[in-house]
Amino acid sequence: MRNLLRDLVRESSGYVELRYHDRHSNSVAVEQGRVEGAQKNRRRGVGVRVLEDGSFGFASTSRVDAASIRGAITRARAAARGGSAYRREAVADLAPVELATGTFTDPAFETLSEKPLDEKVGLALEMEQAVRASSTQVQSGQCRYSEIFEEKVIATSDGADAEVRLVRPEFRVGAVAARGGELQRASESIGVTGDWECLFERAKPEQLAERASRTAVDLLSAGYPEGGTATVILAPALVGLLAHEAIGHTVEADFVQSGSVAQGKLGARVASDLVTLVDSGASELVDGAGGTLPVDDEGVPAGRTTVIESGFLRSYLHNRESAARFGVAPTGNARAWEFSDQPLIRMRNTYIEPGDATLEEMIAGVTDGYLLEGPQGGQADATGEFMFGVQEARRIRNGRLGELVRGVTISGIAFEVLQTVDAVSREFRWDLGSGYCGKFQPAKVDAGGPYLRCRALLGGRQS
Amino acid sequence: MSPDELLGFCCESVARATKLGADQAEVCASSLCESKVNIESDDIGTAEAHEEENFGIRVRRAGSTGFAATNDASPAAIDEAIEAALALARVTPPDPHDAIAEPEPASPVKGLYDPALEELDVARVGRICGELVSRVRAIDARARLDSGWVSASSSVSALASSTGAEVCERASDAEALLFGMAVDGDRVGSFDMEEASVCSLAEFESELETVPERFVRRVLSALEAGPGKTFRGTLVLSPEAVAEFVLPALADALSSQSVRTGSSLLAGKLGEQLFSRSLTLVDDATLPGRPGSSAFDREGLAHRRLMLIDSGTPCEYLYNSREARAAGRLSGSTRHASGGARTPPGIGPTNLLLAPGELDRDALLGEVEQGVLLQRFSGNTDPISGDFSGVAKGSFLLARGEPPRPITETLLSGNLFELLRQVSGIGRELRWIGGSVCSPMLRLEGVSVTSG
Repeated sequence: MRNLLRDLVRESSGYVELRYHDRHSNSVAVEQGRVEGAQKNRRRGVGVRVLEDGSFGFASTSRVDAASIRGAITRARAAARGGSAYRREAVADLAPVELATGTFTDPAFETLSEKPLDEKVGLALEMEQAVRASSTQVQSGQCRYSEIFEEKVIATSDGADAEVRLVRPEFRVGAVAARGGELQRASESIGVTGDWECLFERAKPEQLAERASRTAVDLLSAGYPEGGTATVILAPALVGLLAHEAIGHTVEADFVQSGSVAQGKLGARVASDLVTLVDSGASELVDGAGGTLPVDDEGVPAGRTTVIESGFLRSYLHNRESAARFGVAPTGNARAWEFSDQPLIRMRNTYIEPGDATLEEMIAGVTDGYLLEGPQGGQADATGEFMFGVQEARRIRNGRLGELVRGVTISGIAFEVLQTVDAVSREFRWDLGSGYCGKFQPAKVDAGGPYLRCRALLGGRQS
Repeated sequence: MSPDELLGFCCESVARATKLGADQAEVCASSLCESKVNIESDDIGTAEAHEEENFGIRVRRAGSTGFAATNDASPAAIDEAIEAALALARVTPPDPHDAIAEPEPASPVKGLYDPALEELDVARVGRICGELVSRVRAIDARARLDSGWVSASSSVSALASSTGAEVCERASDAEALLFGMAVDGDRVGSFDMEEASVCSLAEFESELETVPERFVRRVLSALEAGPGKTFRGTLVLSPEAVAEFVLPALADALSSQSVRTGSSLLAGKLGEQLFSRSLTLVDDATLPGRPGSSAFDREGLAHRRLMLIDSGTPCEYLYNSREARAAGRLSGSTRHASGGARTPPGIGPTNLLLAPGELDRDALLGEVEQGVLLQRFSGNTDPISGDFSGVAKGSFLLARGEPPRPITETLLSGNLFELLRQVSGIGRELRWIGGSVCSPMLRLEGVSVTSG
């Protein structure tokens, strides 16, 4: 395939980018003792992007022979011409960069593909059963295991010639607890770029199942918070969500260009000096981050970008087009979900760097507040206003952990909240590897960080 | 592929699956041709032209089920998918309730295919997209288009099975989506969006007349937003907010799978007056000319209109064949097997229609003592407990005798199922959202509002 794509870009004129993508995914979902679905999905094809008449054209083909790919190049050129007539501003040249060449293979690709299918199905059945057996108050269990094997070849007319193979397994387990006609649920999940051992390195599946069922049962006895602005300690998963949703999206260069709240703020203080925020194609600090990739879908090496350095905004995230427009180097953030998707500016592994406090010290310093763990989805706005659901919120009073509360959502303006950060822990972990980012197409990303103490708005119930 | 070619291919693949060892087999296929032009940062972005086929193969062997999908129509790839599905069936415990559905005739739904949309090539789609971008700019330069698209597609769906099902359907679809915010100097408003999703060119052209104005009005209204207030009061939902906040949780609670697994508060409560008497909800995939309509479900069974909630009383759950057998339901599936060729049958609604009330917009808003007009909800609603908590986006503070005031940093929380017992008004005007939800405005009492 690599030779074929290399030959085809050589015979083409102008900028041509060919991306072969073969994606195999396997999944098994078990609920209430029954396999809800066991499925294998394979999609492969070639995505073609051309730059012609100052406009990008994109076409794809699921037939991977030379004639079909040439046909897709022709359709992409026609699409580019179709769009260019109505563009206000032509696409400038793409930013020059040393493009990736060579083969990038994660050994986990082979080891996980060799693991027998029945062991993967068996684990899901066993863990779902374990959840239901854990408590008489647990009336429903769910477990899902999935894995995505990615094989890509990226060839561009200006020199990219790279082959990438990696695999991303995920495991999720959940429980629904019931008492007196009331239902509460909780779940635990983990996702990595790596093999089976990497997936369960931080926590064994039994531990995840036990934790999910215990949390669901505990939530039955939890009350609701009153709401209002509060001191909160965010666990690494919520710090990751903050880094990704509330900051990361606002510094994607296409969004900056549209007028995001980060526009014009390079060099400005946007956070406490305890905050350094990074987006990286590598799994920094701890192995296995779920958004790891060596090369982006334009063939640019996926490096490390410091977005906020000690509280000051230092960089946006770029593809080659936006980098040329901003006069900087591409950061390797162009990503496409499948062969039939065009590359967009997306994050990879986004995190806040660890500090030097311990969690115990941070809790001890809170007179009245909350320890928040377990994200339940999050969204952010053009204004930097964010909203995160929280699975477990525990009261802190006079430096001690107190009771569990439920139904908690936190919100705030990201750059304002980051200004209030007054403590950052040494402990660090990736904790959103089972998550997907949605920006008109999914992307596998990860995010994480240390524990972080700040002020934010908590949703609550008024009597 | 043409409808006949795609259906023929499905039939051949079913025969191949039984030859390779399946006791039963079903092949679902789709073929799509699409022209799409994207909007990026207030300008025309990448133009796209797509053609693709997908095939989903479900096999039964010794009482177990396996599923595999591929986008490759070559004989080797189809054989590979069949073998993969059989391999999964071999390692999966048997389920006596799962089976390939018995066939039944399905009547075509009118107005799902317009050949004029198929003729919209990427150049014509580019012109429409360029005009939309220009009109937004001309209406008010403060309105910024972050992203969006205009697309036109035609598709064919087909399904064949070893039990004798042979159905196919052709459809067309046109979409416009504008997503962005207003920017005025240092002030940045909230994200908002406006969309149109229809099946015919004439309807698309009609929608395009008003989409830019609607988008600009929405994003500008959020530019002057200020802090809200903390109180317990009234929540008035726009049709868009009903579509994203209320109906998904109700549909989930009405799913027979949620009922079977103990994950629905509506389990065992059919026939009970659970919600306000003014609340009536219908599912209907047979409506002519709607993108959410189709003649048959993911198992090839003929769609029917279904009353889900009648005057506040839940009267039916959503079933596919497997869940109907598991529940021992004599009348079988309600024809709500959901999904496409890339997934095995799930359960889900088709077109959801919330019945209108009698109040006009002024009456709905004017009677509110203290409340929030919710345009969009950015938050979480737990379909199991009904608890919700999240941010009111693009929304307004309501106080009797005062004009609605745009608000920011305002959190809402409560329990959705409890609020649906306290419906104090329903609008009389209906609006289609996303091609498959039709809803009026809805006024509920007893929401907790928290402002920073």
